[in-house]
Amino acid sequence: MKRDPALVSAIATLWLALGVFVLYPFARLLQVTFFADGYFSLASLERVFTNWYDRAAVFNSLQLAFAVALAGVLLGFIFAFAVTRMNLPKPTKWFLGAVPVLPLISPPFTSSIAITLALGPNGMFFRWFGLPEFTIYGFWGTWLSETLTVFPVAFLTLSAVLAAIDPNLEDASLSLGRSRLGTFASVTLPLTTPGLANAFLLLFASSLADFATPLVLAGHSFPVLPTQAYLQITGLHDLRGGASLSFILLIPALIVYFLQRYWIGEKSYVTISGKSGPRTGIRSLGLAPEVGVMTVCLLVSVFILFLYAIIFLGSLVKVWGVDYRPTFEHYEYVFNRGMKAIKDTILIALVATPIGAILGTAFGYITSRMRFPGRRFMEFTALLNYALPGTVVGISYVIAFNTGPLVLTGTMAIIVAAYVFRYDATGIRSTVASLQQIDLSLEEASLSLGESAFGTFRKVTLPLIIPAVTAGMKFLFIRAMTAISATIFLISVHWTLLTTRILECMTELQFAQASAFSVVLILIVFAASGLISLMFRLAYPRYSR
Amino acid sequence: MSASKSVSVKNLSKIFDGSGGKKVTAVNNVSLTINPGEFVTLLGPSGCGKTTILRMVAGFETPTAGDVLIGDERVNTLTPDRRDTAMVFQSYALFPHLNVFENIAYGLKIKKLKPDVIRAKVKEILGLVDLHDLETRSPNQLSGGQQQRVALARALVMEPSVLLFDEPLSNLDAKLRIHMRREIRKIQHQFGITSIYVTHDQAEAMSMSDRIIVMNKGVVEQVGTPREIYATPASQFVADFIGTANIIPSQVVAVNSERTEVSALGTSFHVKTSLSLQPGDTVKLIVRPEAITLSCDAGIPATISSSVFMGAYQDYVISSHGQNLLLVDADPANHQTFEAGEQVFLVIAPNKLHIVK
Repeated sequence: MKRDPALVSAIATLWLALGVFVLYPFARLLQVTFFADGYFSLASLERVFTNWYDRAAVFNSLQLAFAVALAGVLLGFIFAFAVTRMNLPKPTKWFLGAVPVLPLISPPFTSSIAITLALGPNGMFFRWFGLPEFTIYGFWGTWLSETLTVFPVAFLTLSAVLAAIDPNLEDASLSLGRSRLGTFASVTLPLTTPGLANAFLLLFASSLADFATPLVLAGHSFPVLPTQAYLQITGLHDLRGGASLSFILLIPALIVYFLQRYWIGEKSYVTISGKSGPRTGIRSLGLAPEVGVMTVCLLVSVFILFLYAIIFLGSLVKVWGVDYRPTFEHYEYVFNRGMKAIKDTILIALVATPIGAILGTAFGYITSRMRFPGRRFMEFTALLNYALPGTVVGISYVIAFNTGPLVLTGTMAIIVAAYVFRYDATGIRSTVASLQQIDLSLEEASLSLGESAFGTFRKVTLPLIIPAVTAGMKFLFIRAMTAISATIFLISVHWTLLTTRILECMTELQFAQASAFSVVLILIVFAASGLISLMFRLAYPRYSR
Repeated sequence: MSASKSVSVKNLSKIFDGSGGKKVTAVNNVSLTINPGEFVTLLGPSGCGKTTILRMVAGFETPTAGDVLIGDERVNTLTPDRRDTAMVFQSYALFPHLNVFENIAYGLKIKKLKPDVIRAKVKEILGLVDLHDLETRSPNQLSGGQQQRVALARALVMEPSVLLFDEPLSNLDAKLRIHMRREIRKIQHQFGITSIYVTHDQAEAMSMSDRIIVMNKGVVEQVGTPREIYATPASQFVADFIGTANIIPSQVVAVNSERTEVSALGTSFHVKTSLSLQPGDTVKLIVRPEAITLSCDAGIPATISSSVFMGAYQDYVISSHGQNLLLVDADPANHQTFEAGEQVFLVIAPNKLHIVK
């Protein structure tokens, strides 16, 4: 399969798209940060490090990300261990697997609203337990909320790693005379190390990039980089200052991205060999450790459900903490005053999802099945916007598309583009992963039977990777409905989003309305992802298990 | 059905870019001709370049130098789908999302045949490979042997000018493999399709091929019928790779038109050879295990090092003049057997000897 013209033009099209929506904004961001009046200058970066408040933001961001990643990995490991390595009844496993999914698909404010209602001023916890008032705003509140929001990512990656460890290895250790706990410490845990490191980096990056939680919970005493950059731009109209802050935010994010790709990628011990001897059953670690694990899991699960219950109940009573009479007035508000946001959000998600699916599949297929110069760089670029904090992407889009050759400010296109090039990453990754499972000889068999390269893709490859494509679409749709960090910079009077409406309610202390918006958003997301799965099942009945 | 075509490769080379910028020569200036209707095996250890040649004939790899011809047509730049070849893969490569019928009909649909023609052809070929009633099964519901038949049927039904086999039996168990060898050979005879078969299993090559091409390190070591290759190997590599061989270093004593006299094992042998040799040349004497018999009273003195009863035959390792030799007694039940440590004499049949340089 040498250069055929179709491939060359496909590659050119993809590079053009990446050039306009990934590389160009990135370059403009660097330009604004490092060039003043046409000359190279470090003045704007210097300002960040001389201003004590900005310096605090740098320090706080790193400290918070470290603490969140540590706690999140620990919690994620405990959940993953319970689900994959303990003999639990099926419903319990299902419950422990399902609860962490809730924060994954919820809008970013959900846990911060609930934590404010539960632990904030007038919070019910303090009344119930007669505790002395203390302020949730600052490090601890942000840490708690972010940990609960991001630990599911650690849970998912670590369960995959733990499930893939061959129990025969543990049996081998036991038969060589190690105790069960000793085996855990000397076999299971070391085999999980690359997975743990990977999860840590993932959580570190998400906490670093998180914008919504600190905006609600961090307060003035605990500035962090994403919110500082946002306030710099929206509050002080200082584009250069915002750009410099987001440049500083970008550095650790890029380091994490590189570590993940080139360090962790090579260290994984867990491989799927396709050779499966008889798998032995799960060996218990002993009563005391298992009781400990279960206690943590149940407490955290109950707390998460409790937070969701608060959001739901909070949207149905007059004023939380003061007047508990039931009412629908907040929903009336949502459907009257918020209807435009609902419609806009759904429309944007509906437009972004298919475009992202097509682009994601194209990037995944071309970078993993074709050989051409710059292939690795294309893959890197295609995943770059996802690796960068949303704030950085948002600010670079503002800089790039406000002025210059391509002006998109205020259009729907700019929001759609931000979502497509940021959130097709899952589609790309799952397409690549599923192509790696598909033996090349399948495609060769089709070619050898006389089918053209394109026909082979359509008739053989696509039907086999369609589950991966669907997973990517679902993720993109959910993110397009719930994301805020990049798009908060891109909304306009013409196009507004549900998440920014929630933020407005929060800043005006309309907690009940914010809760009602959140409930509506969660329901839409549930319905939509159910619908995507259903459509997939109808279109490809053979995959229904 | 389309007429069978010859396949030839001329001065064919393939160089891959290895890791770290190193160039790897997989196929080095190979020229071959395969006649129409012939069943030819490319045989060699892994990495010898046999699969690369096959993939260049199929169109999955482009030659670095040289030509591939199918019939009289030079096909170097033709994509696989435009070549009149069909390949049977080692992994079978059955489409997991299609059932047996759809898998076999896949190529026929591309030819735009009418549905009833397709149905009839698929039915016929399913009968031929003994797979009636399995049309609606999906590949993962089939046993390895059945999957193998479907893969064969899918290629056969296309009635290609050339059939290509890439180690198709290596995933089957030993008994099934022997059965499928016969089946493939029988069907190939019936259809008379030119076939190129890649394998590293010499028994497979011996039992199926009209001719065998033995390859090593990217070059052809020998081309010949199974008999020729076994009896008169062209090199030490071929002698060693095909069957079992005792390779004994020896020296040419005298050369005359009929036979060449070489000395080895403390005696001398008169061997027929086509090699041009001078007295004093060192050569390798090739002695197949079945060419040696044991005797109690006369011959070359030797000691039994090991003696193993294998049921149908007795396996010996004997030592004589510092050489370890393998030999096989095909009928141990009929006469005396020897145990390790016993002193014996060897008798070597002179007309079964062969020498290589």
